[in-house]
Amino acid sequence: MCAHQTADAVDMNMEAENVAFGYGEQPVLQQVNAAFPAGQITAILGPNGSGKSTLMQIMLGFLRPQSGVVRLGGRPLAAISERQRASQIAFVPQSPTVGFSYTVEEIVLMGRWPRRGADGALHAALGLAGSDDRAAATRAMWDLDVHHLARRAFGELSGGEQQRVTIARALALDAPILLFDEVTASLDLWHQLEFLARIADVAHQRGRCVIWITHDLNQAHEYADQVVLLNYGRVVAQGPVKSVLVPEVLEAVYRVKVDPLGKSLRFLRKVSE
Amino acid sequence: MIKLNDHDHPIFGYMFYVAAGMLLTTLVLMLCLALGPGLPGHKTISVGISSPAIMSLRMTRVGAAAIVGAALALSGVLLQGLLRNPLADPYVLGISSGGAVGVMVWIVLSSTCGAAILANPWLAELFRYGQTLPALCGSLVACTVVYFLGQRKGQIDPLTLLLAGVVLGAICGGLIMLLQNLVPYGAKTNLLSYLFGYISEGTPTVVLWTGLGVLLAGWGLALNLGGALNIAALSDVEAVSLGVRLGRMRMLAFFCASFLTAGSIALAGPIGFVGLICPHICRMIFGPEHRRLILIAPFVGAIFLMLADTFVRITGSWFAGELPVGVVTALCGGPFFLYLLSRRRVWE
Repeated sequence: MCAHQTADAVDMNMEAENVAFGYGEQPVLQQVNAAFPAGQITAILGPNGSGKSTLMQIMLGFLRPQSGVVRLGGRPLAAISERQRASQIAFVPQSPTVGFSYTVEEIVLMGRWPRRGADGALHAALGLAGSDDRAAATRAMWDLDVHHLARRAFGELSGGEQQRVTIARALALDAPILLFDEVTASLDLWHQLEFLARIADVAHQRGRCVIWITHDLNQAHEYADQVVLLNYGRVVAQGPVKSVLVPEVLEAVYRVKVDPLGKSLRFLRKVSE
Repeated sequence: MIKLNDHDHPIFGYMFYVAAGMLLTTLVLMLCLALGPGLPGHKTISVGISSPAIMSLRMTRVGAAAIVGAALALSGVLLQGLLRNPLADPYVLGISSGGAVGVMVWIVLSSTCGAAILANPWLAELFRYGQTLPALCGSLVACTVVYFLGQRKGQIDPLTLLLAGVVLGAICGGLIMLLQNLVPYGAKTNLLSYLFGYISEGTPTVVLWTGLGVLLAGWGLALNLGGALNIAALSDVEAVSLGVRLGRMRMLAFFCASFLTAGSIALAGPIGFVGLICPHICRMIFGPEHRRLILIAPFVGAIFLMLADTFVRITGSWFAGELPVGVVTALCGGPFFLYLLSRRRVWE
């Protein structure tokens, strides 16, 4: 790995400042202020339709906020070139879609696209992956236990395998910021725990900023360092897990009864309307 | 899927494909040059070198077939990638119908006020190129209209583009029927043979060279877009998150494909199936990676169309007249395409 990649990889954080967004008249996000520090796992939680995915799409530069600003390492996202932004932020979608029958290896190599063309002018003109890129892709495939699928067509894999390939694609980039949109839903239990251990390692040992949308409050409670809790497009609470994931807050937002039991939370029944 | 292991050294892999493609294309070109009636219209088929005059006519025609085939195949790869749809072909966006309207307008004009046009030296010079210019103008107008209709939020949107193209094609179909009622009976056969595509010995040299120039420029641009086209096969959010400027890439791919299609329509009319089948065959053999497809598919297109047109030339004397080459590509290509579909395991 090149020295400069490690150097710019540490201590990169993201912030949302007064971010607002809406489709037509319908506001989706209002006055969202949130900080996503380096070296921590930040879980974005909230009921369906609370604006989690929209916030993530704004942080990826896919949507532009109608007001407010998103900062990447202190610089406004809009002031950073597409390629530079892409090489700093790795993203894993909830349900990966791929047209045409690319192989797993080709898909994982796509994750290195923002760093393409390092091997010379012809590589740059064609956007070809270099030897660094292939080494990073191979390592990511081993890490996610999909190396044996390298030559298989992505479309033939099961949902969970596809999800692991997509996670490998994001890890291959070795970016300082990692965004995961509900990725554990299609993974089996063993691979869920494996994934959580890996993002914990990436955040805590290697100083990356991990941003993780999830519906699994128990897992968030156990693995996240801090939480941003959204409801109806507003941040209702944020801070360390222990101060946000408490029964009073959760019962109000999720409309469920919460029974804290040891380290985990237990959800018993819906609150009667 | 047969694939050269070009993962570790893609550039060498690509160079191999180009060398093999050039070699095969040259061999087929020579074969096609050597075959044909001794004199146009003769029943005997000669094999080998004929008189210089005839060789020059054959060269024009085989060369035009190669350029048109390559352009259509390349356009097909670009449009299938752009629309994320393996069933797209160069005419799906209504460009060919636009060309047909252009030709129709020209036929109407020349049959109603031909004498007045020929009296003006400027217009007469333009009309020397026959249907080439009207077809080019019609196609370019059509792709400009589709480009502006196919946008959402200021950017090309694949689905909107597809719908706009299909609707424009239908409108042009209506226009053609309308204009047909203005044409005297004799001129109608002109249009019918145009609609199936026809490669002519009479193609002016300057048109051929222009076509070759457009093809090479488009090829270079397409190669540059190939990597981004791969990424664009993912969802829009993923592609943007990987740094692809989707709006710009789609605009370039659209115009590249449109100019190639408009050029080939101007040279030979709308020849079907080449742009649909050649990218397909290449994808089944070499996989979906777009840079590889962009390098290989034009050679396959050139070879396919040269062979089809040579068949037309050879069989010209067996029928009442030469078949439009589009008839041959449809009759050979269609069943072959169905065969490929039936063999496929996974729908791409």
